Amino acid sequence: MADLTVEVCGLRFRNPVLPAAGPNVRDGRMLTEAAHGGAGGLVAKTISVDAAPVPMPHMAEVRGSMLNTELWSEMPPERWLSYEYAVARRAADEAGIPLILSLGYSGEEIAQLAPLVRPWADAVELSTHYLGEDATPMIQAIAAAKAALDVPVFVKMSPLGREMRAAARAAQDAGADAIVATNSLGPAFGLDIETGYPLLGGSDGYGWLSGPAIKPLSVRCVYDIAQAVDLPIIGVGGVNRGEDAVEFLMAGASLVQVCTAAIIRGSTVYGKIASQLGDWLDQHGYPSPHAIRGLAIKKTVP
Amino acid sequence: MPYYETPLVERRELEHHTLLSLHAPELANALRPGQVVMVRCAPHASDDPLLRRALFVAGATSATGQIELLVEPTERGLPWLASQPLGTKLDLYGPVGQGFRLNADTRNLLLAGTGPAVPALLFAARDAVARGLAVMLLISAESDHALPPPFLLPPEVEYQTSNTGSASLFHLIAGKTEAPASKISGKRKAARKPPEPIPTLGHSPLAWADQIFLALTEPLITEAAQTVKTGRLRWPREFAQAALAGPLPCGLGTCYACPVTTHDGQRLRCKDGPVFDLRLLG
Repeated sequence: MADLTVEVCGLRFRNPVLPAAGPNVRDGRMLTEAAHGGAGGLVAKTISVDAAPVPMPHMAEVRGSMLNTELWSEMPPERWLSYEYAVARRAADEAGIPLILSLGYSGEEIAQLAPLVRPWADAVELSTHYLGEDATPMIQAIAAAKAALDVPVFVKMSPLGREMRAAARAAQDAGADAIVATNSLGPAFGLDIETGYPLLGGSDGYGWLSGPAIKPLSVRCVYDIAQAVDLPIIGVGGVNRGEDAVEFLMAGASLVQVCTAAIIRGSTVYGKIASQLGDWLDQHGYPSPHAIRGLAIKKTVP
Repeated sequence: MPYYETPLVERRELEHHTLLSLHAPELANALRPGQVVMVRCAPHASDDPLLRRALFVAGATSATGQIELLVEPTERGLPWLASQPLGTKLDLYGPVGQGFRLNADTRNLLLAGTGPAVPALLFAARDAVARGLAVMLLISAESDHALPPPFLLPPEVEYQTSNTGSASLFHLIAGKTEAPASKISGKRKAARKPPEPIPTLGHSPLAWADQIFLALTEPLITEAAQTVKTGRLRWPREFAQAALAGPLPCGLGTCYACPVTTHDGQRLRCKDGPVFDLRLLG
């Protein structure tokens, strides 16, 4: 039977399937549910220095995928610092799994937030979602986190708007300890053809695409990044079942994250995907997730 | 939120609907009339449709451990659901949201509605009859075949229908004898065992009722509220409650795609509803 435990940046995950920072882990209660649902580690929803506005509606189905205009946590950071992180920390300790806290966005904001979250964090994940194509703000954010923290710093990248290999190299040079690829894809746009209005709320109706449709794009990004840097990679984008996790691992990921599937199927989905991954490894004679990591690169890159 | 894989134990093809019975004992115990279940409506290996479909529950029986869904194939995924063979394990979660709140002193219950939330009224009717209440059910639809058949109800229920869409619904509620122009308001089934007291034509069901539970879509809220205001001297809280049909993409309070504007601010249909006090809406 395959051993699903994975070690990344000195942290031991009980399996390689984690929640992605999003509405599926929007508070301490949901993080606790994720731990109970079999997640290999926990990742909390991104916070920033202020609470995010909540456009309504901020999710809509498009064929085979979802559009969202989800920003960062709609709760103020004070709430996380005074209550939610403590609940999440307790859940992580009880399950014996790491807790990763997601922060956004600029260097100034990270410098402000990082020291405050340190008591609860085994690692932090920096979202670069709104930083644009120039790598400089991302580098500044990494520098701010590294200066304030003695825990691993992961950097989450958006799939378009920058060349992934160059961005990953810049993140590595700036001191990032792992790359998370990718965030949802966009901006995207959909219309309700009965009303002529955008499917999503917000000032422009723009959103980001998530779910199964973006998986090939995210797998490509992981595959590219894995050839460009020596850092561990966490694959995210359309992971719905065990076979999807296998694909990300073969492309070079060490861990995967799940958001849309958890919204649709609930917090037990992490454990189900991990179990399916284990079954697949057993059926194919692999002893661990590590055994298939980067297999596609070994086969395809001379 | 509890998730279940529930076997389909009975499927009954009706004229316009399919009635599905699922074996789900825990859920059958937990469900209240007006609540919803979120059902995955795609084959195991498919992600289309990606999101579950929200269905108002048409019945739940603790004794048999079964729940009933009345499926109208109006939305992508629902024809697939309606066509599943017996034994299929359906992936669903629930109960979602807040159901109807029955007052302890209610004796006469008026149920009225149209549209996708109507199954909630069938559940409410069965539940109320089991509690010994007198129940009148008024339903309007665009055509006869879109109306739920009477055999889905206990014989004690007084069931009146209209096949002229929502326009006549409020005439039925108010007990107006004149139907809207060029439309027919018909009594579909005579009461087999009339509850006591029961209004006769010319009397207002609204005046008779201790509570009214409605199944509506949002465009009908204003007219519903106006009908209650006109027909009642007193309109206490919880007297009129409405199960609101509309999009429920996640059913978890996560997507914020089911907002309802109330007098207390914006609320979510999936968490704060789908049943709301009509006073908050109209």
